[in-house]
Amino acid sequence: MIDVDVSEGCALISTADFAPLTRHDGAFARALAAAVIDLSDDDDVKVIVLRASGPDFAPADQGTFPRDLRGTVTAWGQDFSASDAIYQALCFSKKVTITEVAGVCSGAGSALVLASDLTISSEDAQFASPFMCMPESNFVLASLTIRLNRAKAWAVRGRPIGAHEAMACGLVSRVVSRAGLASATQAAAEYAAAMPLDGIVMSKMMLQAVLDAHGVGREFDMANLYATSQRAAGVTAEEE
Amino acid sequence: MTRYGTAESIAAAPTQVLYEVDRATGVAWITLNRPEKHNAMSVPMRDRITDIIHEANLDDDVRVIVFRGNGKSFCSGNEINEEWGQRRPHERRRTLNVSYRYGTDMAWGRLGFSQAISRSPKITIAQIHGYCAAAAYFMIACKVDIVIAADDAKVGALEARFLGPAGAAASVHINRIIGMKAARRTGFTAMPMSGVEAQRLGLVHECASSDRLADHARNVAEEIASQDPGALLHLKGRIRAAEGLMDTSVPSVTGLFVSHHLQSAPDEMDFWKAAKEVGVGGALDADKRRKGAVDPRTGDEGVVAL
Repeated sequence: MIDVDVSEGCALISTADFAPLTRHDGAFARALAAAVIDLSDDDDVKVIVLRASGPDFAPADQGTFPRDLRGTVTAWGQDFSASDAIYQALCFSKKVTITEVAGVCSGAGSALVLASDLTISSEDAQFASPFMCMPESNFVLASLTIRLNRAKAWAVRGRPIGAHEAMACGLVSRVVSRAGLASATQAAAEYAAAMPLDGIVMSKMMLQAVLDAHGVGREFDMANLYATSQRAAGVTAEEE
Repeated sequence: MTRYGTAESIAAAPTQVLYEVDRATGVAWITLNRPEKHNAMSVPMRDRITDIIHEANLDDDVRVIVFRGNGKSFCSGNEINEEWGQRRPHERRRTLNVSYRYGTDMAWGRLGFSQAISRSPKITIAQIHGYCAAAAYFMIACKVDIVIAADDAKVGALEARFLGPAGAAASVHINRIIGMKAARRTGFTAMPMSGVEAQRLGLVHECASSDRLADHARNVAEEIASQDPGALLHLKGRIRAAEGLMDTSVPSVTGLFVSHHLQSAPDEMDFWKAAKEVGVGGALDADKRRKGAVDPRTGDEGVVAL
């Protein structure tokens, strides 16, 4: 389901794609979060890369939340919005995190992009707003990343953002051809890995304080409330 | 609730702020209709906007609210030369309650019209052309969810040229929207942004030529309104909650306090003319010499306490 490879301070987490997160596959989410947390604690790792081996980073998926969810949202929250769930694990990782995005990036894909430090994108990437169907996606991060009104328009219009526009508004760090994507990501990872480990960890600790001062942590805490609201509204992923 | 303004200005407000709902599309239109004043908003006009938004909020047919203006400009900001029950400048310096009423209740605060806009559960859009200045910039354009602007619109804190306070620089909201350097630039230089520049900075979502603006804004509004109403309410609720976490709803009252102190009363319309000649201090002194003026430090009419 998830492969991990560590080499020269760079850890690569690869999977077919990240759509299982969009359809709220708890087992997948737990495995991915565990991988990120373990690598964050690994003294031999400075950089963590998320890569989809398939053609799309996170293809559009028919979300199972909240329509097919039974019981309360607390179990869902434990897997998807808690402090040790994937998005907070990635956002508050002690290491530099990179998302490598090709093709369709919807739902969980965009939520992962927002939670990562760097995003290397192929020219054909399309970033869809995650806010309608993903209660665990973090609007504060979007506002900090692409500015408030752009984040609002992204959420409200429901139109994906192309790679070059994403680059222009700050969502993406670099855009390259699909053929050059893996090597560009590798270069960025090696560049970051050239920093001393303590420097990276110290920088990420300081970044955590900044993110929390801006309300990022509290926005993650709101996910259960958003999930309740979403369920009441009857919104599923196909609305996105 | 107490309504401020003159009988005339209160009576004029319904014709100066028009409201219509297109029930077929789910779009409500709030049209500023005071073109001879570039749609400057009087206190009763702002009260009417608040009332309309409350009405739209409760109207299940309304999914999107669009602000627009008739005439050459979208809006030049708040009317600063009006009588609404305020006191003369030197008296206002001793009446914080009046300052608070104007600065927060009527503008930024929880009772203010800008808060009614930013806290609306419906999706809000501003359609901007010509001038979008002062309060129109930071109390409408920066409070709505989406701004559609003419390429050549002039957007910014133009009031800082003559009122002095640069409230735009202190607004958490504006700093979030266009970045801190740009926010301070708009506040401290009073230089307007074009629609194109405002789009580049992140305030404006999309631009159109002036002759295409109305159609473009309508298309955007109707496209959004075509979405599921429950989904839109959920999405807007999420955005409002996140904005609360980011403290973007924190009103910046200081600029409005100062604005209020510098605002001219109806019988003081020559205040700024005098200020140009003898400075603000000299103009305040001249104001005190006017017939009927009372120096709050002495209680004597027409006497200047030095």
